[in-house]
Amino acid sequence: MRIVIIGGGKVGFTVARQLIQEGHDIVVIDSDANVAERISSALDVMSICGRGSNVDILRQAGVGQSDLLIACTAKDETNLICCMFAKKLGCRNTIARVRSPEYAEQIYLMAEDIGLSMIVNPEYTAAREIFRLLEIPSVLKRDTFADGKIEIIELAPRSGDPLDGTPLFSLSKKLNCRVLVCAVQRSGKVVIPNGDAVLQAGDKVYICAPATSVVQLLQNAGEYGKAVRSVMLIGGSSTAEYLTRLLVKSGARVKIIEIDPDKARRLAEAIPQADIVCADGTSDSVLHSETVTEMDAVVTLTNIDEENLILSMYISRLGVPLVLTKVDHTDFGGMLVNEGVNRIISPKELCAGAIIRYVRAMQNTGGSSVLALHHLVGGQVDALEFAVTKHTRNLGKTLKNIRFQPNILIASINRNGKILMPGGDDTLEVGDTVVVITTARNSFTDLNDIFADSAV
Amino acid sequence: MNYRMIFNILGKIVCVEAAFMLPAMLIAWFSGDRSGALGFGAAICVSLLLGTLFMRLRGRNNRFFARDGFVTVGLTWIVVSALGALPFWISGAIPNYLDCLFETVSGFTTTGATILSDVEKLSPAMLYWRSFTHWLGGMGVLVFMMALSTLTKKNSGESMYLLRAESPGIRITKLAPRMRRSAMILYEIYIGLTLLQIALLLIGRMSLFDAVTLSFGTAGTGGFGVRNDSIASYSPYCQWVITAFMLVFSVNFNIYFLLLLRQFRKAAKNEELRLFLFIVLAATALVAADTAGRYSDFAACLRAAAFQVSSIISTTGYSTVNFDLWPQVSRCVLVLLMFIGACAGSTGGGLKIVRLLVMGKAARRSVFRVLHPNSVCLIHMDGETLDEDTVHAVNTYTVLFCLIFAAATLLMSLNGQSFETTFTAVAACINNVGPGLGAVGPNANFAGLSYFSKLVLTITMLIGRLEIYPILVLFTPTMWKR
Repeated sequence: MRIVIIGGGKVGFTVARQLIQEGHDIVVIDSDANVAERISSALDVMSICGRGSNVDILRQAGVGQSDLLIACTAKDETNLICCMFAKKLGCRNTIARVRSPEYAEQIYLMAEDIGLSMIVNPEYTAAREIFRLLEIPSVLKRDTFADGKIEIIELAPRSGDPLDGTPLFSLSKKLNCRVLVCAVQRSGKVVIPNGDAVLQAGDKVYICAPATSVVQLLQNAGEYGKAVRSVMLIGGSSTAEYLTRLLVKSGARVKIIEIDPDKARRLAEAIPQADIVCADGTSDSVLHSETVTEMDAVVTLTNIDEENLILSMYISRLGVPLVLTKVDHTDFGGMLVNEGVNRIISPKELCAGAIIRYVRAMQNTGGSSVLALHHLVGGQVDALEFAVTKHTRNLGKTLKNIRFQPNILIASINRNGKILMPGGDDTLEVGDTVVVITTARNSFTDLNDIFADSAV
Repeated sequence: MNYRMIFNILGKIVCVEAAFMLPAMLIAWFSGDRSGALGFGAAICVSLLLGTLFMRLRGRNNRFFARDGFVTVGLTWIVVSALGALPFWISGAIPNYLDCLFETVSGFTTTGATILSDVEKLSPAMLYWRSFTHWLGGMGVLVFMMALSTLTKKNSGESMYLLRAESPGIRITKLAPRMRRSAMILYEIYIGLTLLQIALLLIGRMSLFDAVTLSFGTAGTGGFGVRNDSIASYSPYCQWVITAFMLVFSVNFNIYFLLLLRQFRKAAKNEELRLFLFIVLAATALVAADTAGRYSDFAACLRAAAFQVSSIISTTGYSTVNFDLWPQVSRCVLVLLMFIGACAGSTGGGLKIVRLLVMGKAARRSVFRVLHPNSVCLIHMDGETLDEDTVHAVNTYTVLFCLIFAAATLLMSLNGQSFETTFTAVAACINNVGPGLGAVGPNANFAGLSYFSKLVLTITMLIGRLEIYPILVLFTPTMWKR
């Protein structure tokens, strides 16, 4: 497909990088000459320097012949206007990033009239993700597949836990539910393990399980912490507002620390159920006087990544069991190794992910290409969901008789809504969707790529 | 620096070069030129061996930056020339390897300066290969590779660094979102125009071999002929066809892309194109007026003037008359045209019209600022504001160009020839024109120079074709320090 992206910032760049890899032709428009220059040097895209709200620039980018326009500049209004123009010029689908809470609520009234196919709201997406993590405190990360029926969760077993020292083949018996270990990260190295591997304390373990048995799994593994009842949010951004609404609804007590009096007042008006404290959340004495140590969870949501990271490290050391950190600048990636910051939320990354899923769904009418893709272990392992079609090879063969490429694991099969944790005697049938785990070095785009005989 | 990846790319290119030598080998074989066939066969073997050896080096990582791009381009051109010179040397057509290298670099850089005093003595295969190097070098070896395949890790923008480093001009833009498609469009236009010229020459009853080789020479704006008198002995019709196509190939290829997209208005408004056509017309008129007394027939006068002006401004270097014998005004105009050169994004050399345009505008602004010190004046081109970095880069490039020109002239003067010869020899090489004046004039050649001078000119030609930086970075000490 031909896709035009307006705004080459973090979201635009991440989306462009992923979509090129999936074989789309990308044109990026950015008003900053340096950004336009940098993006065309880093990626195989055409970049145009200019304002996306300018129709001449849109024409130059060939918006009329494009299948999709993604507007993700910093301004909501610009994004909406770009989408309206693009639609008028003949672009088939448009996606706008709309982040202001007011617009986000109102825009659904208008979406159809101005021809918006999708609205992404990074802050709201982030709030949802944080909320999901707070629901099950011991899990470091949750990725869902097959419409939420399958989850891959990240755990870090401590010494003495039931998981410590368990060989994988006896894991399902021990946990009393069918699970599959997708990947293990041990002292920086990642392996896709076979049945003989033994889990150790200090590993990061990625487990695939049916969503319905996640709670049971965690309870049996001794990893199910008590539910979060009190949460402190540092920084009263719009993410904080969305998150507070979700938390309050679920019955948790929320305390927001915000330094700007106007913002604090506005929050207090908007969400009367929450405690709003107008103070500097980065000050040690403020944190203590607001009893940070008695919180079940703390989420650092200020607008400055470095502040969030340092706060999280400090608060972790104070003994708060659950600390989540918002980081926008995900290029820190591998640099973050400190124990205190193992739960990182990146609104922009999540937003990019949502856009990419939409694009995949757009082109995915019956093909066997990727339905969903999640990066695990900091991008070192990919979990991909494929649909099995009649073009898929090795249909009906038992898995133990199929020759796969190295480092491939079929983590689960979704057959008519029933989740199978596959063993050697299972087969692939038309209509299934499968979750495939692989090292990120293989970038598969088709299910047939995973078979060894496709290596020509 | 990512040496493994650089050499991997180099390996692929060397293998492609071997494939390109194959037709020349077949020509040699079927024309009964045994030593030529042996020369090409041996060169193909060496290239394939070296290529597969380099290709075994696979990049451990995919980090590839602007500097890697420049080094790749610089090394590629040197290695490709060194291997391309082998057939001349092994077959014994040109006995000294340094002469072979000069000839091949002159071919790839589309200069067209030759050390051969009797071109007609060369076998058809050698003549074909000489002209083919023009064609390949004109649009760029790496650009060709990009059209064939994705050179580096798929999907990344690294190829942009290579395109920038190899293509002439100040602003390199893609024609399509994908680099591969973009390079393919360029080559499709290039091949289409070349075929058109071959067809038109065939209609003028030129032999197929001459039509193909001369079209290669025109397309790359090179200038190697297949006869000792260059183009003089062909019919007036053929001379006019070649004149037209020399101009066609010195226009920015983006213009043809705009024409294909039917954006005629935008193409016609291009300031660089307008200035180029104006200079061509003005220079032709001036030269025709200056030389009118020498011809009895006005058509012949106009034809010679138009041909020579087109040949020099496009930096091709074909000739129909010995313009070294022309009056001083015409000779002076031609030397100035050498420096102006063709449009950016074409196959021609020289400083490029667009740089002249930018510098002219910047100069006018400086004068204006003297009168109105507080005025805010920006430089506009093609309806867009040019940012100051671009203006700065153009000025820096020109200064660097002059410095290198001065240094090369000084080194050439060791040869002890007249100033005219020394100056125009360097001018003809750094601008990729070919013939100069005096002892390196259109009816003479570079054979008489010392080997040291030939080496200096060889490097100068590479510097001129790649627009200085890719070659210069290879000689920059900090480039190689860790």
